[in-house]
Amino acid sequence: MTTTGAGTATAGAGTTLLELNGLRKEFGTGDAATVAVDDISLTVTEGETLALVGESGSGKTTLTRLLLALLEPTAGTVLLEGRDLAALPAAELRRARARMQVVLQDPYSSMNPRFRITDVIGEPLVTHHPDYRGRRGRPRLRERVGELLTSVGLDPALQDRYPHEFSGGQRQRISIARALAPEPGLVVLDEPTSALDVSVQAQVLDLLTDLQQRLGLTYVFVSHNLAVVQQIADRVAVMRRGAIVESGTAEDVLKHPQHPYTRELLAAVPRPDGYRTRGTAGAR
Amino acid sequence: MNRTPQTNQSPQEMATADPLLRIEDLSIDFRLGSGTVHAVRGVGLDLHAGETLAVVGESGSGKSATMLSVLRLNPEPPCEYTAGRVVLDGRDLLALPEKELREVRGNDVAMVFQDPMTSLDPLQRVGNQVAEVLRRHRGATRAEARAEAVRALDEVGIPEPERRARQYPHELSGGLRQRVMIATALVGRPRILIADEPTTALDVTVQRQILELLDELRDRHGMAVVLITHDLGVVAETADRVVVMHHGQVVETGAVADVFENPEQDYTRRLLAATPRLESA
Repeated sequence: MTTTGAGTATAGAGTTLLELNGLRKEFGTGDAATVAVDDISLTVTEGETLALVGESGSGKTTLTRLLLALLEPTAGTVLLEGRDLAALPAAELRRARARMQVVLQDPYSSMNPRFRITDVIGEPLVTHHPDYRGRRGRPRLRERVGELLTSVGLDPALQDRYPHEFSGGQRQRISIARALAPEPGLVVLDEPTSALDVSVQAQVLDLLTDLQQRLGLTYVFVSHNLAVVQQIADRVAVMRRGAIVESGTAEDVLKHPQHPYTRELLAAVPRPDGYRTRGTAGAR
Repeated sequence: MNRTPQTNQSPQEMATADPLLRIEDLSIDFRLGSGTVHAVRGVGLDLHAGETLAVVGESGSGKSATMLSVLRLNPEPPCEYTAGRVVLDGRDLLALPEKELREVRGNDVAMVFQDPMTSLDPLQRVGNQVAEVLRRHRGATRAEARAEAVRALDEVGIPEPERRARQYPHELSGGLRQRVMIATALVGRPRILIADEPTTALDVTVQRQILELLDELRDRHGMAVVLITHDLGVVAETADRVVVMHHGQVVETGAVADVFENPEQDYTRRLLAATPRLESA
């Protein structure tokens, strides 16, 4: 597959899960307006991992908020399974949102510290399904939360504990379990391993890969770490100043970058074998 | 590959000379409500003039607590230095009265932290913050200090240093703020610069610039740099020697190429294996 031109990222074969068309987001109005996302079109195919990479201020976080329908675009459309999110009635939008979940860099900030893990993970279930509510729904909720904990490699008995009793890596597993609770099709992973130690990062990445295969999940993976992206992504879109400067398969973009900015980013990554080239021409 | 001595003109040659700084058998406890944490357990390391020494480890390894002890910056309580010495110029810094330690801070040893926003005063123009160090440590006059501060900002590669000197920290990008921090650390002309995750919060392209700046300043001033980091890529590209820490202890020390090519300890091997590597074509 060849690298496509700037602004578009077209998938190969497969069913399109998510489609962004001419998406634009401005903050502020008139002369003071800042264009955070500038005419972005891309598609995400079911079952794939699309990585959005870029430095701070590149617009990658705004883009994910637009595709999760947490922000309204200034122009353009977001289609989930062919349906325009902006045109959905409230009840259907709620259901569409449940199909798209997000895992953030720091899960602790989004967990109620007074909730037991049963309720941290079970919150979306209780919100969306009456079956899990109240005393009567409790055994069912505990059973489901237990299954979710098992699926992310944690002991189901841990659901009676509180968030502060867990390590960073365990908390990230808990937030993944919470994201999986409503049985989403798409999971946006926003720097999910950036705050973790490398050994823990490796385990969480393995878990994500494993869950994707088992559950047929589609990932939008936001990261500044190109080595991690290379490990997990099928396709990569490189963003700068609100626009996609280059996109294509991970192999093409990361090994045969076409755009000077992509090359600059790749060249800046510190390499664990960097001592071999130090002191030689051009290295310093 | 075996541990052959370095043949280039690198600081390893000085390994036989007296170290600039020596940490001996250092132990640090943190007495917390829930019990005592033995954060550092019998750590020893040497730092030589002109070298970059990386102290690597995962969170909780004791790498920051060890290096913060050089300036006794661990909060006491809960921190308690239970054993060991930190020797600079034949003096044990852990035994120094606070007043003398203040002379060491900034003059002999300076620190740069991960997040400059927490170390810079948001209400003061950055030029004044650099100048204040000079006035305090060198007794410079206001005018001298101001001129020297602009020179210091220029030296760390801040464009339009005179204009920038009049700005407040929030008006600067993360990369520029880190350069201001480095300028503040260096105006006292320290012999040792301890940088605690100085580039972790920065974008990769900015990170590279800051690491290159540290290299350049080290060579120009003949400083020793201690780089506390969790990033083995950063270690490989900037450090001469590396100290690997785990659970409050040093598990392995050596020249970077030796340790990375031929790690002797299982923990070092696992750390290297877990580090994602970017493959090129």
